[in-house]
Amino acid sequence: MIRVRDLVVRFGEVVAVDGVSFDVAEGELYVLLGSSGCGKTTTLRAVGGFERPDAGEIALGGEIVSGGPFVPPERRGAGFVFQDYALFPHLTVAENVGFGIRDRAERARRVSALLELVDLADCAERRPHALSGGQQQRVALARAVAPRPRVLLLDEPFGNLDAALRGVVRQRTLSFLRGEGCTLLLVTHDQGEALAVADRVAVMRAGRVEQSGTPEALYNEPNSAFVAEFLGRTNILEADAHGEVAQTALGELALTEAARGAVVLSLRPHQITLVPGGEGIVTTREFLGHAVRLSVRHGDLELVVLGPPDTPFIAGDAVRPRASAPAVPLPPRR
Amino acid sequence: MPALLTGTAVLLPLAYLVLRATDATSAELSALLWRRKNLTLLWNTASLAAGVVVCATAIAAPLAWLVTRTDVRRARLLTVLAILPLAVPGYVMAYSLQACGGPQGAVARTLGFVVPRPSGYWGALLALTLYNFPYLFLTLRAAISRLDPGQAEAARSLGASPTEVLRRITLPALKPALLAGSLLVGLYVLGDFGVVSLMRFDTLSYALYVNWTEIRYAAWLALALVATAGLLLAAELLAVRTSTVARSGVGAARAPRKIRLGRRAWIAYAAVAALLAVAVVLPVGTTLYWMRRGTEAFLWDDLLSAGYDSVRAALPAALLTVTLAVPIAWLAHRYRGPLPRAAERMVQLGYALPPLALALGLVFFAIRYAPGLRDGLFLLVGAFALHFLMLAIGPLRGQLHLLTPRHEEASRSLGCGPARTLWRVVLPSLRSGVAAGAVLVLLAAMKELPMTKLLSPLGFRPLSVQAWGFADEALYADAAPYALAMLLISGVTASLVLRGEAA
Repeated sequence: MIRVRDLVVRFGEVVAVDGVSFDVAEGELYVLLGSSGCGKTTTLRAVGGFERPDAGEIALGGEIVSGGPFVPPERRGAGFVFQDYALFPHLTVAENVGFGIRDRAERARRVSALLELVDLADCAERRPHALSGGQQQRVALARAVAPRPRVLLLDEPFGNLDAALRGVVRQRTLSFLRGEGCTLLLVTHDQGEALAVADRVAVMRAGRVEQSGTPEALYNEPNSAFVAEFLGRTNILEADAHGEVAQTALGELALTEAARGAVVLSLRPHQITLVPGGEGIVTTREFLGHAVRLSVRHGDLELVVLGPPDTPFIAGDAVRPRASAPAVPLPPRR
Repeated sequence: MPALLTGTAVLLPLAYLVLRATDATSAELSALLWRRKNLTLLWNTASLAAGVVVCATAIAAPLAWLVTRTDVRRARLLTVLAILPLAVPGYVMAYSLQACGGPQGAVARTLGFVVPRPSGYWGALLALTLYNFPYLFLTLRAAISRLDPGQAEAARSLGASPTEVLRRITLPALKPALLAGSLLVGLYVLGDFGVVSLMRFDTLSYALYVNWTEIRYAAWLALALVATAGLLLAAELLAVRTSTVARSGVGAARAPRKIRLGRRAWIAYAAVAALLAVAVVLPVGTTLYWMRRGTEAFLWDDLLSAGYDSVRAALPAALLTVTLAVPIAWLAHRYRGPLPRAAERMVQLGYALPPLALALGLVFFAIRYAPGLRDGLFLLVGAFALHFLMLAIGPLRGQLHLLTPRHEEASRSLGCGPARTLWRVVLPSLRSGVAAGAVLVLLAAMKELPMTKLLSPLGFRPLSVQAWGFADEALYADAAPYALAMLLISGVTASLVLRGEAA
């Protein structure tokens, strides 16, 4: 449904997007993940038609919209949910939602149906500034899907909500959007959010896609230290690999795939278990409720370990870390 | 106390106008009211005000867009140039338009071809538009640079074409600024006397001046003028109330992409140059031309004594105005309540009242109760103070914002009583605001024409009256030095406005 090939966007000297390619299938939820300044929002805006790419091609539903004759945003059939919602302050909620629908009768029907769906039927005649942040977000969603766009582009749509509210709103929103049958391209800097909601994720860095795939694949088989560390905490170990095993400071570890020579390994905090007595010293202990997080100094290494809630160790205890799962070999750091 | 004083002083002449106007039998009244000419006057006034607002917007809006939303080079210089026409008062513009056109005009004499000599509606429209568009330019420039580009993008993503975005999103967002700017310009046109008199265009204020000795009719005309101004104010209030444009989103607005002009930049430069040629170069050039032609008739003594007269009225007016302005501004800043609110409204009313109506009310009042007042400058100084109070309060307000109650409390805790706190903390921190307000009022009073004309005692001939008087009799060479003096004074005002914009 969305095809991006070798996209390049420059702002003067700065190359914001540097050869990005990806495909989004119909009905899929695809997430562009990265820290600020990585080019993810610029990519999204280029798909929406708000930035003119300097090179590359964008196609929506098979129709080339950038890279051939430039198709302006209003003729792309791409809905956009802005980070700050960009609701029209001079229009009521109902007028905002109905903005993009041409046909009058259709507009009235669709607006009332949508407001019902997002639970804002009571607020139809109010102005946006009289709504809470969560309500504004729902108006923005309803407005964007009202004209039945081919694809929906979302720029940090949950970024402005309270952390406490975010999880619930996210689930409700996405089930609503999937019910509308939308193909979704979502931008976020929140790795937890990306892993939780995406069908597939592209991790971006410095204008390029670092790695893409399903959340499970990215989490379990990162192909760089950057991706491994970006998708949640991990321990990076220098190692000397001999096929299926490698020598590390923690002793001999099993590997997820064969490697040779000097490599770095990623071992997630929950993949380490501790036994009493050894060269490691516990430096901090945090009780998280469902787990206990410990920092362990082991020689030159500073390890993060996630243990069960009944983990007995406290700061100062001597422990020996052991790997409870095979480590992931990564190409050496760039 | 000063607030009350100001309030009474604004309302008294108004009340007196009503008294004089209704002081007649009903037959006389209806004869006055149904003069056929009244309708023409109303129509002329309304169509001139509307015309100036439309034309000034047509110039100001593209200019404001040019300097805020395109990559045009030297946008700052263009902004300065666009404000420059403020340095040419309306009646000097009218004078120079007349003095350069026609077979005897400056253009015909120097360049050998005749350009038409503007007068009547089109002449007044031209002169008033050229003087007023900078005000609209300033308000629109501020409003456009505050526009949220996300709004336009959201509309585009919902299928709206660029022209639809303009109509459905951008214009509604600019509406308050447009209304405020239009109100300012509309009120100015209503109150204008210099331009319409020189252009011989029959508006309410011109008719008022011509007929002012016919007291009852003049009072009616003045009331009609006041009522029109009131209608404008009410219309603006109503329109603003129905348009909300608070930005409802959270987070920072994205900075807009500037539109690349490329070669089209030359069109922009050419348009600005043409505008400046008419709005600034032409009046200055014409005045200088007639100045050189008229050397033998020109007497330094006359110019100096006119200058002295100008200062003699304007300086006390400036001092009186800031003396009233400081307590009113402080009151309105520190206390919320009906009295400070009322004082602020009075100040705005004083500024909105057409100057001729205000002056006429004062004259009537003085004739009846204190005939001696008309011999001195008292009435004129008072009228200036009432009318220009708003100018003096503006800069004060900005500075008062920086002064929190904490500062005063600190002073109190260090052993200063309320009076000493006012003297040692509040007033010193207002110093530059007081100075700015005083200078603005001084310059405005020196430029002012209609009230000066009506309230001058015998033998009092300040610069503005002299410039207008000679121009009115088509004695262009004689008017030139006075017009030049007005250009200089206005130039200083314009540069002050510019400095305020830069800050």
